[in-house]
Amino acid sequence: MNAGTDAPLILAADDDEIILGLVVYRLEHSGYRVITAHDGEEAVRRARAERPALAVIDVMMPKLDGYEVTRLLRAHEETKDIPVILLTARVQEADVDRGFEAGADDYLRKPFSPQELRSRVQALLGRS
Amino acid sequence: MAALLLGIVVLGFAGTIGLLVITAERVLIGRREEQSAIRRLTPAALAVVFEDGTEFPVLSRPDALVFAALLGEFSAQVQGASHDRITQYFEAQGHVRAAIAELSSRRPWRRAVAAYALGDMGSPASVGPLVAALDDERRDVRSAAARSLGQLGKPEAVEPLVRALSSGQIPRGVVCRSVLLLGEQAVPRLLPLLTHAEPEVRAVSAELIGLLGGAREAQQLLARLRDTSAAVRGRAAIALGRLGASDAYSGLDGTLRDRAPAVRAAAAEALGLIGNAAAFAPLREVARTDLFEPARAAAYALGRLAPDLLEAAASEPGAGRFLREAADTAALRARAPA
Repeated sequence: MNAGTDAPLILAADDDEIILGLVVYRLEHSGYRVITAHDGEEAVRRARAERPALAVIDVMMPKLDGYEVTRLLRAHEETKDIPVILLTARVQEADVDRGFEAGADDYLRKPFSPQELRSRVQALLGRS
Repeated sequence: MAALLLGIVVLGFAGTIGLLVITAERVLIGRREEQSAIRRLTPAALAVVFEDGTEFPVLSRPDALVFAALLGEFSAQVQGASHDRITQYFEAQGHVRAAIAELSSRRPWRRAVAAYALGDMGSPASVGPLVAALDDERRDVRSAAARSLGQLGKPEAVEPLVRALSSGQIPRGVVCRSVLLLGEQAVPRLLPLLTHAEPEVRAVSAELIGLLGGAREAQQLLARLRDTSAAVRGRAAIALGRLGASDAYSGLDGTLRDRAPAVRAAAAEALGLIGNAAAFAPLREVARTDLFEPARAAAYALGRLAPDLLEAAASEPGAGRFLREAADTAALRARAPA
């Protein structure tokens, strides 16, 4: 499915090309436009420049981790309302809490279900 | 004569350099071809992962190997329907059957590769053969089988994995990762192992329940505080602390007087984690009077349990060096920038 120019824009950030490819494929084939970033700094830069409707951000990334990216997005007027889904390989409740404290709206544990990713994205975009 | 020898040496040197250049060139060409195949085949592999009813492509043998490797990498990152479709591909193409057959190969490296690949293929049919491979004569094969059983996520693998770990056949980290990957569904399989005849099996099971279980498992772990093995008693105490089981206080309070210092230290640490205020007095007593390991653990547990009271406890006459050390450490942490 090709996304139209009025389709919501989503930022996908992960330093793992395999996971990034899977996330991008799922989102593009669900009708969204997708931009990508391979580290935390690039994620913040692209979010500020392109104002996506939502961001899917890996927790463990070079330069800035997902928590820090989320905090920086929340700290700036132009990006503070972007819904954030964190992708995390960590399974402890404390890490989930940390994500919510940083300002994330939802999280997905890796390995992730692409179908679940689509549902969470739809839910957040419907809400926002 | 010398000129002849020199000529032979020069020719030999030049020949060796030539061979190295040719080999390097072939390796580079091989890598370029592989990268090209990955780029060419990735869209078809993604279609298999995401699209129901996708026809599996007919591929040459080299392309089929690259395609299988791509799906293997995707398999480790996804779950649900996408993971099931990858498994269907490997089953339909005969890869699962072939890899199971390879587990009987006479060459150890082929058995290890097959054991590893079966984890990414995700077929339930491979659980039995992989459990059998936990007893392979080669450690790398056993480790690959343990890793793959974790990837497959089948709880029936828990008992053989824990047994293999306790017998020292497989590295601890590999087995623990595999059982942790199974998550909460492993707990019902771990509980009966708390009364296994082998102390090491009981100890490992207690530790894993502490990582995967909940407060409802506290009673079975409390019973292990009276185990004949000190290793089991210690790991059960730590597990109770991790679970934060508030009703574990009375059992752990008694364990502060266990005959093994390491078990007393584990009980002290657990009481600090649970945070029951009633533990303050017994912990302070252990911190003041016990041997190095339990006394130190008790002092730091007090710092966690009641940081406001630690300085006063450390300033009392006869408090001893461990309470002083814990109080100083707490003060340093409080002054450190966040």
